[in-house]
Amino acid sequence: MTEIKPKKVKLTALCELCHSRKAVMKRPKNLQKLCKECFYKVFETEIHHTIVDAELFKSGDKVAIGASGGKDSTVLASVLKTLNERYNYGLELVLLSIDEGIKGYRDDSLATVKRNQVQYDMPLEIISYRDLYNWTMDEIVSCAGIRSSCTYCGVLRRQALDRGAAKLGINHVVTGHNADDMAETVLMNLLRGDTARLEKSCTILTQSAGSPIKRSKPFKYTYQKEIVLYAHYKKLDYFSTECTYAPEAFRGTARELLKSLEAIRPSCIMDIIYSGEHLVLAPKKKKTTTSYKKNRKNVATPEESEVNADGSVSLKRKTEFKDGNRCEKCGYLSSNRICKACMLLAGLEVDRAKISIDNNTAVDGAAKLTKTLEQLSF
Amino acid sequence: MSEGESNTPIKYLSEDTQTLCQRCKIEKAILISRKEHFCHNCFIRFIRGKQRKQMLDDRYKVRYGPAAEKFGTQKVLLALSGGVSSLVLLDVMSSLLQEQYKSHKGKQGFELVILNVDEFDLEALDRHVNDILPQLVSRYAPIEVDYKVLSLESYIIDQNMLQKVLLSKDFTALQSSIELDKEYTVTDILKLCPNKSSVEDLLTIMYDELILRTAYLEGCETIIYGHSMTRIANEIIALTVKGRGSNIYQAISDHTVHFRGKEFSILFPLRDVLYAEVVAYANLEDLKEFEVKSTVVKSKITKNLTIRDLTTNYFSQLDATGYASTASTVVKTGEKLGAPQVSHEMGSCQICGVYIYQDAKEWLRRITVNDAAPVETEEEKEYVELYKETFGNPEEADVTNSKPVNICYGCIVTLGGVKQDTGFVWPVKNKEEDGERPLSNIYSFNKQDILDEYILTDDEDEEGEVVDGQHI
Repeated sequence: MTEIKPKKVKLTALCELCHSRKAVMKRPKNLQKLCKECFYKVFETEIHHTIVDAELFKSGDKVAIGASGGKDSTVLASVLKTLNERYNYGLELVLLSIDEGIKGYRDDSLATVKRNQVQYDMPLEIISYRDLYNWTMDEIVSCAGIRSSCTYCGVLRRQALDRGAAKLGINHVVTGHNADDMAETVLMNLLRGDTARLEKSCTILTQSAGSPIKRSKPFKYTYQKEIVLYAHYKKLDYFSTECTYAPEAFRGTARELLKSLEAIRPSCIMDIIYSGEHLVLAPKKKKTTTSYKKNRKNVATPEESEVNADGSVSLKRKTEFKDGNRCEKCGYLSSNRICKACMLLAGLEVDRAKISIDNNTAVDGAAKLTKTLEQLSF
Repeated sequence: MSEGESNTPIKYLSEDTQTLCQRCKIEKAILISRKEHFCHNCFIRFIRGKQRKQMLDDRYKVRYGPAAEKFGTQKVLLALSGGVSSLVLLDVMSSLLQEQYKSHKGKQGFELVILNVDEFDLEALDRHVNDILPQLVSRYAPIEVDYKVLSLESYIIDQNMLQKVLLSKDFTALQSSIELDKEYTVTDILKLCPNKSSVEDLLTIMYDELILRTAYLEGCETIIYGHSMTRIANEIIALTVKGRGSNIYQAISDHTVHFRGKEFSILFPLRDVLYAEVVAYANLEDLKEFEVKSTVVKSKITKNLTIRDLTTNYFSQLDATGYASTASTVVKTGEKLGAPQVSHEMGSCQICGVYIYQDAKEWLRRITVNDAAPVETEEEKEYVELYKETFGNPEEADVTNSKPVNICYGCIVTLGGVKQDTGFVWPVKNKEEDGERPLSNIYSFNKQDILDEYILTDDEDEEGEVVDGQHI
């Protein structure tokens, strides 16, 4: 049977917002049935609200988009470009990519970013671990083992993004962290008892007195699934392989829990973020100082220091955490005397092979191997 | 598996183990808990010690002289579901009373009252808690333990207080009076819930208040729950997931609640005991035979579970995979929480009674936009017209007889998905009383009203005069 006219859409199959077009999708956030146009509209408007309410940008700002080539950062670049034009933010957008040196994974995703550069007509800057730290992730993993890969990579990337932005003369980096990431972080901070991060786990804009570089997460309230749908309908060009160095096991359990929760109550990601925004530490109870301590304070002169039982001397700790401390080694922002990246790198340096074979491919990670296997043909 | 290799919190030793108990160094050890070998008696003593430490207050001790006058007769209400944890708490508390009785020539520091909210039908239990109570209580002679069984139906005091509550698209909750053509039971109310997790959430609200009311009527100044450390950790995560994070600091700490002008201490004496340890205690003290269980087998399919089911499963998985310490970490973190900042006075939630810290509907509106994209083509316009003809204009919904309900985020989430035609029915708290009473309910009743509320005797039958909510 041939149809001349397009079939009438059933009224119940219409989009729940405009009642004028056929619904093509169920919105992951609240299961509303929507048409493509209304989905774009609500998706973009919500991000616009998030940006405006948090006053993320000022007109004339130069903003670097942390671009990995994955769905989140690709959609972020696309949406920011759209919103910048629609609402006249007056932003100058730049793509900033980090090359961690994971063969078979990052080289491909960087190719995607390079295509994005053309598609969105934005400048692109690539900073590599190799140039910055003289290590690639593949080398680090072969040296330190796969279990701690995310610890190294996370610490190093954070610094790399800052340094990349500084190089470009940019003081604001936006990242594609989405609502799922936020909710997962809230749960993880509770499960790990990370009280230092608990209150800050939901802040959209992180800024430090000592660093000129701000970071923000415009996708704070944006569902991962909606990002995927948006990329799908807009036919955005992104790289969909997950990093081959899988997350640590414990985070995996939290992620699993979150997935099941979302299945029974889609709003739970927002609910967890709402809860997270209201987690506040109670004021610390003042400890009553004993007379013994008071006396000691009076006796000790600044030049004296106590020798520990094992003969060591404790390095003097600054009395309180001061925002804007600098690492003594590299000058990067750090809450301790030596920043985390320098600590990790120093640890690695000890274990580094003194001699290596030319063109050694043994350090290449699993990603490279998978890729080679994929390309085999018989 | 060799000793110590197991990651589970409790490891039972086999009969032929010759290791001695590390506490008494006399008896043979029967289990390992927290890396220590225990014999039967030392383990029981260890767990009881956890409760003793939580309730060191003078008011729970045998008092003489001025202290006796100051505190008068103290009564402690124990919320007993018939599950392992509450049975263990009863055993631990009774043992304390027995010790006091022995060493003070028949004197007790406090009187113990058991309250059971009947869940026989609701949870499809394998037996009535009422049936086990006489035998259970007789275990602790010569200590006399009073017990009450309460129907959940007694939650609705007055049919006239019931209001129809609807959540609009922009997250405003509206209440309107209902035609009292029939009487609503709690079961009816729960049937109007959009999903199982909402039922679970609302039941918690009902239980908490029923327990408070009973404490008030019975003159109990202390309420104790059998929550283990694992259960409290579970509660912290569940509250977070339900969008009730701002209330964690109160809900899980030992705290006081103001209710009808009186102050009540709410304690979790087993907060330092892992669930696995509670179970071990129950096994050793032969409490398992009293355990009341649901006959419904929990579904294996995620979709059929509730939020608390999922978080419970999560913690038991962590126990099995060697992350058992997580429960303790979560509880410690929860205990460090405090009250969030309030920008301006928002009052209390008229559904659940918690203090509101932020305008939740405004927050939601910003991140859940409901604006349509422009209607452009002729065809699209036709559809809009057709839709309006058939379903009416959604923008012109009748809200004339409705007034807004002050509602917290958690309750917005719970009511989300309630059907627009049937709506949801709840005794909305409309009478504001003097402030500073988080978690409490806010009715102002005269004494007679309160006395009319419900039965509280030992031997009345289940269905009988459970509720008397007919006063005008």
